[in-house]
Amino acid sequence: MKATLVLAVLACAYAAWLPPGSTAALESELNSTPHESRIPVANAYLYSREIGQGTAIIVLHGGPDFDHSYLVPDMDRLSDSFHLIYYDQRGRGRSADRVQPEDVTLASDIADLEKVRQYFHLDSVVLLGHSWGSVLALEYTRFAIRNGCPA
Amino acid sequence: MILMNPAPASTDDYKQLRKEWLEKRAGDMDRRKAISDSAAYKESDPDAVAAYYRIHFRPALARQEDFEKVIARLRASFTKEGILKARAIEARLMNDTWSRPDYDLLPRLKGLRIWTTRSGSRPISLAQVASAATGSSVRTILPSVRGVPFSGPLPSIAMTASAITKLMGTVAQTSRMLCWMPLQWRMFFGQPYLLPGTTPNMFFMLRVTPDQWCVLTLGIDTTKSASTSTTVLGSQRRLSRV
Repeated sequence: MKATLVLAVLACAYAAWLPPGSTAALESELNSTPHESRIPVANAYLYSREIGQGTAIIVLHGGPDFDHSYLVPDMDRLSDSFHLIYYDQRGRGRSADRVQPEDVTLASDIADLEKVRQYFHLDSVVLLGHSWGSVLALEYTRFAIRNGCPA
Repeated sequence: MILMNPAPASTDDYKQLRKEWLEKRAGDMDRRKAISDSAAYKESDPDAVAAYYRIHFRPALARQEDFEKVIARLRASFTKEGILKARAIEARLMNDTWSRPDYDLLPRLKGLRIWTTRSGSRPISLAQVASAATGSSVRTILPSVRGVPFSGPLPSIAMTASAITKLMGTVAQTSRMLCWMPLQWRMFFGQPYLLPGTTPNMFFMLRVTPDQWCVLTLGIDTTKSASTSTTVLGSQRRLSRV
């Protein structure tokens, strides 16, 4: 606990000291080029967009009727430290081709997320869920633990 | 696991959220309803849908320019056909979750015995995290020392509606929003300080600088399951960067 408090104080001091140019310097590091893929899942293909290097984070968009596009480029700022994997959930955005609404359920969204994990050969998964994406993340966690997936 | 502006984790939470919106954002809700009742919205006109979400997301972003960017991106992604399909999908997912009277993630997560841990603090369960995150459950108890919550995850402004802390087994603080949390967001993320009970319902993290990484390190947990596998938000290592 004391160590945490010390770190918090140091963080405050560092924040106060940080020169304004530091943000710009950090931003200049964000020169990764996004890579797009089509991930085959049951009766559909999911659009995905990757950027950055480091620990992989699968980004789950909200809505649930949105797609990933509203999160970029702001979320890309994390790509200097993380390998961000966005994807449009089934039937939404660029994953809508040939998908009927009847094909989409909570179970299919969970199964698709598992397919995304497998597609990128991720042994452990970091999930970043926004709004509806948080529900999907929690539901997936439950699924993954019960099914022995490396979540 | 990083939960950002989480959606309700149960049907009761969803109802409570709607109730709070009606109470605290009555004007916005009236305007939203007027739009959603319009012919243009019902016909999936992208501009009408964008206008609806303009009201919905307005409290989310402190800076007007950031807000306008998000709305512009949303609008650019809208097509009539896409809106129609997405609405139908949303309705189906609602049927699987918040439209079900018994939908409640929290007890199911508790049953999984997933723990979030932080060095130097007591473990808290993922269920507690989810509960705190949704800010809706009166059962939420945050770890505390002398009545002051100290452990992560550092909730977004929207996450702290009904947290309580305990001291020696008794309730030391009950708050719709614990004051230190918005103060942290004010200090490190530049969000305006908001009095308890006046929280916006959204938060977008638009910029992350090295100092903020340190905050995230302190505030966000590494989540470890009961098994040997881990769900990681690996922030501990970020300390070395700072």
